[in-house]
Amino acid sequence: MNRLQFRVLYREFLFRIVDLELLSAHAEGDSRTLLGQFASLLVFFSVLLGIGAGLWAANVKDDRLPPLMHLIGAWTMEHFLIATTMLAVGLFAVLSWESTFPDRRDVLVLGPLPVHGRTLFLAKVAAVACALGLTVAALHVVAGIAWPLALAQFDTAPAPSLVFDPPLPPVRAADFPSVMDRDIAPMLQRLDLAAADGGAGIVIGISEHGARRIMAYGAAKPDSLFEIASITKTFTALLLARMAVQGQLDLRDPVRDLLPPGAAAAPTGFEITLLDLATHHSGLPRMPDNAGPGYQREAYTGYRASDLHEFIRRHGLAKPADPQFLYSNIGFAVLGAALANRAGAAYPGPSAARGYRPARNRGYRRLPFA
Amino acid sequence: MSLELRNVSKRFPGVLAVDNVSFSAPAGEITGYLGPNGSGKSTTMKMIAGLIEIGSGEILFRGQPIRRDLIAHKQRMGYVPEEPYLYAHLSGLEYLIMVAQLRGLPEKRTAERIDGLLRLLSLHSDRHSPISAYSKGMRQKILLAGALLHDPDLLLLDEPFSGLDVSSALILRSLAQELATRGKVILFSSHELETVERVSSRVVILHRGKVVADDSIEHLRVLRSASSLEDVFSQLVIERDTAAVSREIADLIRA
Repeated sequence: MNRLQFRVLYREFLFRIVDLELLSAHAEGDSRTLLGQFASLLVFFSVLLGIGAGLWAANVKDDRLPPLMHLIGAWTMEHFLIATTMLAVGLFAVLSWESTFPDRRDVLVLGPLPVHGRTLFLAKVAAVACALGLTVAALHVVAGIAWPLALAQFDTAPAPSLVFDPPLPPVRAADFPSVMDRDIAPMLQRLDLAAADGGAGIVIGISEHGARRIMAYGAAKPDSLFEIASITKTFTALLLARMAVQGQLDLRDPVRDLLPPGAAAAPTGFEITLLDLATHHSGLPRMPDNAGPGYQREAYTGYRASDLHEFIRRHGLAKPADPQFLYSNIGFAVLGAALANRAGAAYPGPSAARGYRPARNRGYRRLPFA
Repeated sequence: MSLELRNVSKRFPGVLAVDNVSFSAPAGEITGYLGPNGSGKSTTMKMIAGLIEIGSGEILFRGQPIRRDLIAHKQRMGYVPEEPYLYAHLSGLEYLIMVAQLRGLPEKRTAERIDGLLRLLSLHSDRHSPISAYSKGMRQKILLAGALLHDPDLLLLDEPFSGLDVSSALILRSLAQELATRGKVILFSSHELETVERVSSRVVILHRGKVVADDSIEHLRVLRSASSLEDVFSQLVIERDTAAVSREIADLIRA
């Protein structure tokens, strides 16, 4: 390889990689000016990040945050800088893609000259590598110094070791409380859950061959009431399966057949079946349009059976030709209401009547969205 | 010393651009290389310049196949292409310096040579302007200067008068003759038949990729009972009645 040729081509390609329209208008063919402007743009961004480090160091008092939070803050910033670097490199790659490979102009300009193809290729690779390196260096010239200095002011907790706990030996139900006492109690203290608003706690129930044990930790008591939310879907689905096995219904039955007469008009096309509802392929929305937003507690607790029937009557029970999976709370509510109607009991009556009884018949609050 | 093509062919997908072309261009004279659009002139030039691979056959310079050592061949060759492709962000001076460095020419002597060429081609005052600001004729002159920098033994001129003003065209015409008398091999392709007739002693005429004439202009005129090279060219490659076609066009645009 001819070194002089390599140097000349390397310089030419390096310039062309940063030959952006935005910059070349002012550079007017002066490669030094152009490269300087490109580097200045990156350094300017780096300075902005560096100012951010200074502001962070000035405003975050060491005694206000625990070491663990400092560690999380440091990680967050590291991730941000890595992500910014990847973004800059990606953007650079997109902008310089055209100039990375020899084009017709290169062939016609350099083709008649006594230059080996490998010299040309190596010069291109070296120019791309250098340009990327300069981009990353310019991007971090200030931020790469400012942020480590800012973060070094505070004591951070040592990073947790990334190792897995060894598998636990099997525990008999009778011995389970002592194991839980050992494992859960310190965790509750460490996470400071006991001091959380209104208190926080955990209740664990186990059943082994009829032997039942209930353990309560934190603010919870053995007879505390919990909202079990979507866990009710499990009961509804089990009830559906049992009724299907007993021949009381077929999974392919239209749900309309199980609802009171006139609950919804007969659709002209496909109808929603029990299986569609159980597998979230009914085409029904996640939440009904006559309830509050799904993330508000009132959306669930304030929704009445009359609201459900009003939704069914208005929305209908037609199924799209090709329904996609969509997790539907209202879909399971319709299924629960249909099963209850077939069994002739109010939901959750059917499940309770068939043995799905929570411990001591407590700890179970009916939710309208099944 | 001569350039020789032996049964050279080049096929592109769906078209045989150059079909079994053979001729030789001796040193000391300018060989005109003529043909209508699409006849395969530029493809032949590019094969001789080493820009595209030879399909079949052989191209020899000084008796040696050029593809045996293409880099050495390019060291001895100067090429002015039909299309003035240049690095437009460079100035004319920067471009010539780049060409000189890539050719490995000695720095001091080259600087004087570049300066002289820029002066003689009336580009000296614009030498620091970016090529993007140059006119087509100025770009053509830069290409010519780049092709002459290393004093080549073989000079390929593919439509070199494109965009040149009268004065520059006259200089180039004289320059080609001068270089020929100094023993260079010059292959000169142009559509300006009058110019070719003035500077070339012999011509090779290409039609549909094949050589249809390879002789001295004088002999061709006698053979074809023609008064000029243009008449010879018309007899050999023009298949349509040009007057009738022009009448048809005039009628068409009036209708």
